[in-house]
Amino acid sequence: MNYPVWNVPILGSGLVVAIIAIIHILISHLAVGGGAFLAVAEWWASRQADPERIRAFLRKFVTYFLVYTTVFGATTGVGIWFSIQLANPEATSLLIHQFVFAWATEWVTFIGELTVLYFYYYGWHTNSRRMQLVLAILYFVIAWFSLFIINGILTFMLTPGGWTLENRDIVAGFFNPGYWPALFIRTLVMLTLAGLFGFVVATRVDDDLKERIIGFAARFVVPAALLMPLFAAWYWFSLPVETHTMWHNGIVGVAGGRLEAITRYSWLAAITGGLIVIGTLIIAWKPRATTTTAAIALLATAQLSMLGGEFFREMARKPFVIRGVLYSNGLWKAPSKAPVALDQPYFESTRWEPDHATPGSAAHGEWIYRLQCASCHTLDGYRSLAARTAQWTPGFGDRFLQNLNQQGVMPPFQGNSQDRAALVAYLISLHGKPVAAAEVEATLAKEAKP
Amino acid sequence: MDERFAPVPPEAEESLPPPGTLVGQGLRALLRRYPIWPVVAFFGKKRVPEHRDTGWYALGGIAMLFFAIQVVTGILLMVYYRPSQPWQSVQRIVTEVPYGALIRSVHHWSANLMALALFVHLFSTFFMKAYRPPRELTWLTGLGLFGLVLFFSFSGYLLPWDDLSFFATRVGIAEMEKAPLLGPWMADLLRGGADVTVDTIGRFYVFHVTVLPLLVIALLGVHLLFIQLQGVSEPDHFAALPGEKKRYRSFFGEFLVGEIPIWLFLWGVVLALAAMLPRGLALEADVTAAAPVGIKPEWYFLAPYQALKLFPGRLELVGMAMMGLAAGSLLVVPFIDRATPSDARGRLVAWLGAAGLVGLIVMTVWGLLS
Amino acid sequence: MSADDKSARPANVAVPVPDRRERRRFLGALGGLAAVWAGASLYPVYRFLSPQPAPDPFGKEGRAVVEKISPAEVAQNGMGKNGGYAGRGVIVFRNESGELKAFDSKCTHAGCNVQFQGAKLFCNCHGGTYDQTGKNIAGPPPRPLTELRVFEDQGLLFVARLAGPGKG
Repeated sequence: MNYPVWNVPILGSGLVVAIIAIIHILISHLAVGGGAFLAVAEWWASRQADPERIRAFLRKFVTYFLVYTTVFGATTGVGIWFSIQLANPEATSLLIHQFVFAWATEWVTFIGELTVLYFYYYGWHTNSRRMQLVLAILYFVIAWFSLFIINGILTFMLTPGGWTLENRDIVAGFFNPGYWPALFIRTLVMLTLAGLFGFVVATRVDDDLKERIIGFAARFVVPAALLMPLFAAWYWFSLPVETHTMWHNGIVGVAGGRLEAITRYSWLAAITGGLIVIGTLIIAWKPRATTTTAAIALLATAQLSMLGGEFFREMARKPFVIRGVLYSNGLWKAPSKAPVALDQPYFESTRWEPDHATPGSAAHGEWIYRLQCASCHTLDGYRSLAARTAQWTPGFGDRFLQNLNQQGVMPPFQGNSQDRAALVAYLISLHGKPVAAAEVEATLAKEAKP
Repeated sequence: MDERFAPVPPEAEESLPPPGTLVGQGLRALLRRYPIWPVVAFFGKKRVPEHRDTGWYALGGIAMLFFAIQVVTGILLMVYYRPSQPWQSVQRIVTEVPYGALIRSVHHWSANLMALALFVHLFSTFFMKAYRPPRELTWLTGLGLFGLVLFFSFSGYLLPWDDLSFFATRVGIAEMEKAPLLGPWMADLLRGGADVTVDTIGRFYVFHVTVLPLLVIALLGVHLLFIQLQGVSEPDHFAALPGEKKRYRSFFGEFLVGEIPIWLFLWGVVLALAAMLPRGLALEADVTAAAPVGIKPEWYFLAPYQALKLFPGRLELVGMAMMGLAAGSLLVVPFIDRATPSDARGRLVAWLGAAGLVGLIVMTVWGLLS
Repeated sequence: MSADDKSARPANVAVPVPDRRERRRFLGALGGLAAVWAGASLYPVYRFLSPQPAPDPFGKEGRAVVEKISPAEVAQNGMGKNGGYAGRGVIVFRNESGELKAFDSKCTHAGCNVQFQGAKLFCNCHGGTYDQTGKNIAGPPPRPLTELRVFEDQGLLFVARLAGPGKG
């Protein structure tokens, strides 16, 4: 169980992490891709007849870039730290303990890339052109290395690979089956975003220069347009078979309760990816007609694509936070470090027991909801429990909880029949008339009689 | 020169791709057979004034984008929808047909965004005073289109035949029935009887997929033709500039091309909404059951719904009359506020419109929250 | 225009003109990629429209009930009738030797339902003729009719695949 419980009404704690993270993803990928853009553009500028004019554009580019990525990147990045600790301290703790040197190295890369970027920016007029090129390349390498590291931790959550709680093989866990396809996919995304950001800045200069910059920036979209399907297929084959099943179930719609949204998110990512290619074509075809609004619209489309991709990746792992190891609500999967007999009274296995949640009390059911369900379900907002249990009777609810894990998209229920009755009573009470746990137990007993 | 073919005009030669290319040859062959260059040149002349409010000109095109999405997804849904088995066929679409739920959710969200885009388009043209002479008919056809789209939404809403659809339609027509003299007769005609039944679906379906599309496409063509003939309206602050300061962008070559990335983004937004917030299907309509708790009309009907609550009992007719007057006043605006540049009367009209807009927003938000 | 641009450009350097041919080739390639992505995005529409695989007419039990023909109507030698099963047409009759026979009535020529006419089975559309073993003996049909296993169970007639599981 995660304690203290971070109760976020309507959105739920997980969605708060998602919102911050999805914004961060756009910025962070742009931050790395922008490094490639700067390096290549420095080189390209030196081969033009008017290098100083191109560099004047680059100055504008790196000004926007520096402000945007450092301010919003840092804010949302730290925002992720804050929110994941609160949403899932157990998982965060495991990741920190397993990959402590990876995290430490990540911070070194952050400091490194920012230092290099500042030297690049503030040394603009004093550094030699060659030094500027070297700094740009160095920035890109360090920034890409930060992806190299975080990718291991992120992909570990979905496909821990050879790592288990017993062997704690961090190399196997870091370079897991999902690592390499994800690394290539994210690198392609980074290059694409760099081109799109180049479009935006290009619309702020005069038409002649705008046309040339747009022609240059459009080439950054081509690698992803060509290669993404390949790496997406590789990624697909690295996914666990349960994810494949989830995805196929989602083709035929709102079956409800089978995480079928995963299919819709994958198509959102793919179709908006195509829209980016089409948009780049339009902009490259008519560069002089491109407005800043149009260029920003394309960047916003990329954000939607990343929203689809990241939601897909997160849903692919449910109901686990570390697949096969730790469920999102804090239950460890056996064999685990704290083997739990699922049918013992729930509060005997929890680390803290809320005083007022004694069996039989009204708060008992509510605390079971908070500790076992609230990690993924709000009461009447995101993944609303009130909506999902609208038709519940005591008998149906009790049987449902006993078979919770059967479809593979929910963790098993922890607790004995009293705990089940308490939770069922609490959920039924959400729809109007309050029902006590004792009533539910009585109804179940009556129905059980032959 | 072969007398069967028309000559390609010299102005055309300048604008076409070179005769060596495939496209260039193809276009010249067409022009020699169909001498439509004057028409093409006429359309090519359309230009958009460039000023601080130019962005608002994109809204009509955005509404058209959503309409196009509706037509395509609507046709797809028609493959599986059965008006004689409305709820079951929608359930089949949503639970059995591959990607049926996605396409239906896209249809739902694009409808909502189209209504929103049209509200914004209406108010932006209002505040830019684009309705003034000589553009009265453009304004009136626009209002006609808006009314047709509202009827589109109303008729489409019934088609799934779930609890929500049934009661929403019943209430909507009941309100219509209260209109004096013609009310009950119109309501019966719409419903196909004294109450909303599966027969009503027959009529609403025909309207939704045949009559309304034809009317909208015809009226839209006329609306766009008027704009093409008269040119895009220029707001006062632009018209007041001396000739050499006025800048224009060509519509087809520049403005439209700049719009396309925005359309692509909006299509992405519709998909994202369909992915995150799919449209559900409530229980099948039950004539005997009580209306669902907390039932409310869709957001675009919330303002009149909430406003009518301020006129209880006998006063309801007064409330409806007042709302009718407010809506009707939109029709006569071009005949009241005619001065270019705007005069005191024009400023009064703008203030009244602003008050109307604020009222609309307040009532909608109030309706949402209560 | 930014001040940076103007001050950075020397007055006597010509601004290079982008190569028109190279630009057209690049746009063509990008256009091709865009077309592929757009086409791939239509895949959900294709799946939406594609008909689902037809369910097995004989269902889980391996048999389908015969509609419109009762056992009494084929009790005597020479009696026969057109009927239906699982949304398709069937002919059931008792031949001269007293055997109960059934054939899917879809003519192998162009799909019309063949009519039972006693000694022969005749297709009204183009004159195709089959004998009592289902063999095509005259007219355009290229192949014999599909024979089905037929049996009676609890007062109803059932048909099933010729060789395969099924009660009866």
